[in-house]
Amino acid sequence: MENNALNLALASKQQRRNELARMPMEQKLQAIVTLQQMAAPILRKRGKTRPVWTFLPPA
Amino acid sequence: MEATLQILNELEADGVISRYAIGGAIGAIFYMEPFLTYDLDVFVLLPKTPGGLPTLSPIYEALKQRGFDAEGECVLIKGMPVQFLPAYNSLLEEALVEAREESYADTTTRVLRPEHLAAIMVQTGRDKDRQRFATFMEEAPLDAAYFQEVLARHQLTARFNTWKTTH
Repeated sequence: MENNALNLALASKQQRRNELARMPMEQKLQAIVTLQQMAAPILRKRGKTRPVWTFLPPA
Repeated sequence: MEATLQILNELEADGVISRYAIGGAIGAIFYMEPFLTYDLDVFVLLPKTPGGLPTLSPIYEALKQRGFDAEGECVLIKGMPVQFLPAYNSLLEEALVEAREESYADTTTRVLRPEHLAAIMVQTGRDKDRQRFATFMEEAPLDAAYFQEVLARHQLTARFNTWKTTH
């Protein structure tokens, strides 16, 4: 029973990752920018800075 | 990124670079889920020079004339740090020649094939390549037979087999 629940959770996780892999590149780049924005304050606290991309997304 | 790609296409059309293709993290993300990265790695074939030694200087000069200055290892082109990497071995040369055309919005670009990206991860062999490789193999649409041919052609089969057995 527990194994079934675990397998279901892992399968759902893999399915989500496969969906992310199939997203249009424009959406993937937007996701990367969001990750960069989330990482920026953490990096700042560690004394590091990395530029967040500033390009405009396609119309 | 579209404006960045348009500048790369201009450099190729003007003969500053013979051919370019996107590799590295962004190349991989064309085929797999997005992850945190900061640079656009662009592999380039450079025109032959009279001295015979390939140099990235003409690229930096052409970009400077367009108003884009080098910042460390990268050039900031239209808001995106771009790192130019010459194809310095036979695997990268093959990968560049066989790179695929892809569209980004209304602009055409070139991206390394997933089989070559995976082979480059095996060849480079850093910890981050190994971590990325496992996910890439699960998500990217690889032609398994072609991938094995690439590994064999560049003497990477043994290393790939070691990676497989330790995962």
